[in-house]
Amino acid sequence: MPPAGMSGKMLWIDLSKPSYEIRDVPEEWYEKYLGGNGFATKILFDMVKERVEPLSAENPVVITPGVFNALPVPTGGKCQITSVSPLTGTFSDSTSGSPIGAEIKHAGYDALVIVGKAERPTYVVIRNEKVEFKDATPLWGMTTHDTQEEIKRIEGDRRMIVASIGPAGERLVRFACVDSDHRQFGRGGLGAVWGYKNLKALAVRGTLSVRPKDPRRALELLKRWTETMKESPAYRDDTKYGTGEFLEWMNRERGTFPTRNWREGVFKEREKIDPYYWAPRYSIKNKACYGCCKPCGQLFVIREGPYKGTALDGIEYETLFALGSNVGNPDVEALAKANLLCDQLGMDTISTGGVIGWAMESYERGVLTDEDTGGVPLTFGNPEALLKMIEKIAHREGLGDLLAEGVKRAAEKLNKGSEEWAVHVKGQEPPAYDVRGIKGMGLGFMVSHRGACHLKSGVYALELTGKFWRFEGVDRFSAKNKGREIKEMEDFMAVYDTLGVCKFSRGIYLLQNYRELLEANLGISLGEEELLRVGERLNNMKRVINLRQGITWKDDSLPRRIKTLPIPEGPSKGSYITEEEEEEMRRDYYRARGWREDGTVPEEKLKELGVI
Amino acid sequence: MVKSIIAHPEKCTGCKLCEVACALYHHGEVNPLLAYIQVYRKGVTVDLPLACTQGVDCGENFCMEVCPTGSITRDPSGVVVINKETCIGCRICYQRCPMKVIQMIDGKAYKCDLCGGDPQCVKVCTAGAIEFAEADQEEIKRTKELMKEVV
Repeated sequence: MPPAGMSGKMLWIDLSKPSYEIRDVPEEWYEKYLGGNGFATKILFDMVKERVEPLSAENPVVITPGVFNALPVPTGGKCQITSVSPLTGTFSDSTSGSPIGAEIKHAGYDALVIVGKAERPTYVVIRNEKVEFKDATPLWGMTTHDTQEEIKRIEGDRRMIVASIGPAGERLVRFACVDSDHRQFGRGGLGAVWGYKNLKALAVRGTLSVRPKDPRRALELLKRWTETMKESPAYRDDTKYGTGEFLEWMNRERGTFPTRNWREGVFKEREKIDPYYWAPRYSIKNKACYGCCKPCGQLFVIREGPYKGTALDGIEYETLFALGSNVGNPDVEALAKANLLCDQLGMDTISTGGVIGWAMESYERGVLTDEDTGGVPLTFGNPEALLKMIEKIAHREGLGDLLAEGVKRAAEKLNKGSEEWAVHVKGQEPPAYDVRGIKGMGLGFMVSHRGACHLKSGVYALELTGKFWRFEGVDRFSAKNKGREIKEMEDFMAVYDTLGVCKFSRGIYLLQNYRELLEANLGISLGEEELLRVGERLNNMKRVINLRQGITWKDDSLPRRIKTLPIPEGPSKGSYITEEEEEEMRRDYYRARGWREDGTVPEEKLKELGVI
Repeated sequence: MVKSIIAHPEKCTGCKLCEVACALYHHGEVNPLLAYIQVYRKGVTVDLPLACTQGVDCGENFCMEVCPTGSITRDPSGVVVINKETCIGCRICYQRCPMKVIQMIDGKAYKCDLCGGDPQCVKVCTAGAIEFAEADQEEIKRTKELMKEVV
């Protein structure tokens, strides 16, 4: 028997035939992997036995509701898409707060697995045990949002939840995203995997109940935690200003807000991209992920001027960097428009801003010319050029075709020394934490299984404030003793990915508070150490998958810019990560993980964790 | 005027915790089809939580009048209640309710009963998008306008 609140079923879809099959989830999976991200990891671990080409019929797409999806756990609505990434070639899991996770549980599944490649553009409709493959030819070329509305219309069901790709995914842009209900599975280019498979969209409508083990207790806990969240110190600022709440602090107090392709750590022209400026003027209400009582989404609406009619759930902190400071753009309206364009065309904003920042530096250095850009003056601080380039990337027009490959491949192809300022780890463009002044986060970027990432270790908060959870007195300018810190934070965060809980709740729930929630909802009892053990197991499995994909210790490295150019000004002036520090942190991390010196995982470790 | 669940769509975030709490309280399960409050959404801009306003929004006594078995009545506290013993599941109230706030569950009609005076949905709505209060005419007008768009 599966735990309460779980169905014990997985849906396997083969787009090539096309056909589908409902399979039982092996019972021991719940104990070892819990569900959600844990199941996705196990499924890829079993399927990626040797190197899998990201853009191939063999690459599986796994969609997993978090364990707490469709259960009364506030902020427990996160779900994931997992696959081998066309951007990094690694295991890549991308999270979103779309209600599609809960809907999948209401349809009766703990996981969906999609393999094969459809012969022609297809969308898949799931209504409980009924699965249909429909022709998406008329939808091909449509934006993400139009596709979702159109499918709801065709299927005659407004409550249906749809996830879809846009033109960028169709054209295999390596950082294409999947959008669902105006929230994105952004990172890792998994939209291109859908595009390759001719999978335009997935539409789900579930009508089955999800039953907590102890409904009365679960309801009491829902009410109690909702109240706790509302009373938490973060509530006011999170809801009022969104995730960009600490943008000014990151600039003024820490000087670690990457700017103009990571040349600077302070964005001087930030006044109007700061939510303290724009939220009161443009945000008309909060938007939430499924099941969230601490909503940080801002419904940003532009009522007049050249971008009149722009309305989006945004702008998130990372995007304020990527399409703001990183491209030198101080114009918040153009930024909102750029954000919406990325969502509609189906591209990750972080990677989009990363690659355009690289192109702008290349242009200013004369490595890219007007001939290359098709006459677009690709200078920093030029919002029109930014908007044009976003369209060109999505449609792979002109220079957009090169940029659609991501910064690593683009720099390799262009050459001319441009790798010097190509900022990525394992091919993924990094998020908004200038790790030259946050060295532990630098290690987090280096070793994250999906390439440069803030969410897999989430260590930025700990490093920037000096304390969190079991750590205190942490010095962000030091590279000493960072191995255990990153290892434990990664294991901690893997629990959040698996339970489907928002990482902005990590300071509120911590880990020990999940025991009562797991007892009331699933009827299982797990404490902090047991949960961390699951996290550790999953992180080791993800490493093994990456090793099978050909990743070596050399890939656990920082870009040259981080190691050669000190932050020029501000509170982190002069700081950067040396080659020696990089080496020290890498070794320290491998030791903390119990891996070999070359970053491979000993068999004993996997046995100890019960993986093999 | 009787107090009921009043919607403030301009504050609704679309999180659906109200649906979760409602179904869980009344049926011990999470399922939007078992919830007497529904969040209707359109695009990124519209989120409208709708539950029965005990005859205020629809105009007095609408479902009570169409019920052929007299199973829908107003109790002494002013709440419109459905007698499950006599309800024959004819679906007339469900089909004709202008606010679309009656649910058919296992062949019987169900609607918001205000949880005995302590509505659970309101307790979990941190955004203040639903309120246990008396409706005002302006709000009713606005809700009806929005309904045309999304329901």
